[in-house]
Amino acid sequence: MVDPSQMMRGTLEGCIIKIISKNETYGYDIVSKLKEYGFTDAKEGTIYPLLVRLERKNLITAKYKESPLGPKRKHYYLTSLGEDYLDEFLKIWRDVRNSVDRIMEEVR
Amino acid sequence: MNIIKELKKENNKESRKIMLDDLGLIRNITDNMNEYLMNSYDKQIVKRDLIGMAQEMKLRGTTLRDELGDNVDEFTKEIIENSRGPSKLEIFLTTIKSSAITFIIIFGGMLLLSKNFDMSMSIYFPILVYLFLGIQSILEFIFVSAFNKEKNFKKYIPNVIRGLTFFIFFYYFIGNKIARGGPEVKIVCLVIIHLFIYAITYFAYNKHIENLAESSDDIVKDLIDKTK
Repeated sequence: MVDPSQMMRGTLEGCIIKIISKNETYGYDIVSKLKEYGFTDAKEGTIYPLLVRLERKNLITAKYKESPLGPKRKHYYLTSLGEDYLDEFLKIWRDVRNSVDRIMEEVR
Repeated sequence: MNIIKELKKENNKESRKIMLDDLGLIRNITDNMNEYLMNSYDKQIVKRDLIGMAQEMKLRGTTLRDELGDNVDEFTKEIIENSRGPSKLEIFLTTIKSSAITFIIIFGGMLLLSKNFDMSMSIYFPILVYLFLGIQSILEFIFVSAFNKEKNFKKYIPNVIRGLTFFIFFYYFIGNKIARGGPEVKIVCLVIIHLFIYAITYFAYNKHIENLAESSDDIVKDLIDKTK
C-alpha cells in the first residue's frame, strides 16, 4: 500500500525552508508547525539531520538565543541562497503537482 | 581561544542538566562521530544541539531517547552524511601533534632515566614511525569511511587492518634492524625538534579550527559566556 510518509519526505526540506522563511524559528517550533499542517510523524529527531544539511548548503543559518524555557536555543534564519532555493522549490512543486493532478484526472 | 576546548567545557557544563539516560545516548551518538567521519568542531556543535534538545525535552516531560526511538543508528548516520565531513588537515595536524608529544615523552624519558644526554639513535627510527603513522592515517581514513555503515563483524575490519599494519611495520622494519642502521642523531636534538613540531602543529590546529568555526562564529560567541 502507499506509504504517505515516504511521499512527504521528498518535500520536507522545502516545507522546513518555507516555515523558516516566515520568521526565525527553532527546532521544536518547526516540528509543531509541520504537525499542524499534516506531517504527523515529524519529530525533532527527523528534522535535525535535515537542518544540519540545510546549514551545510548555506540555505539557512543559525544563532543561539536566550530561551524563556531554560537553555539557549538554536534559532534558524533563511539566507538569500535559501530564498532562491525556496523560489525554485515552489516552481518545481507546482509543476509536479499539476502533472500528477492531470494524470489522476485524465488517465482512466 | 581554543574553540574546541571552550565548546567541550560548555557542553560538559550543560550536560549536567539533562537526564543520565540521555547523556549516555548523546555519548553513544557522538562517539560514533570520529575525526575520520566528521571534524571536531562540527562534532561539538552537534553535541551542543543534542544537549539543548535533551534539556528542552526534560522541561517538556519527555526524553531525547523517547524522541529518537529505535532509530538512533539511522539518526547518527544521517547527521554524519549531512555534515561537512572530516577535515583532512585536522587529521594530519592531530596525528603529527600526538606523535610529537609521544616522541617528546619517550625520548625525554629516555634521557632523564639514563641521565646520558649524549645518547643517540638511528635517524631511521623516527622517520619510519612517522611513515607508519602516515600510512595508518590514510588507511584509517579510507576504511573507517568505507566500513562506518557496516554492521556486525564488518565494522571491526578497520581495527583488524590497524593491527595488521602495526604488526607488519614493526616486525618487518623495526625487527629486521632496518631502523637500527644508518646515521645517528642525538636524542636531545630529536626532543628539541619535536618540541618545535608540537608548538607549530598546536598553533596550526587552533588556527584551522578557528577557520572551520568562521562561518558560524556567532554561534561560538553566543554559546560561550565570557562574563562568568
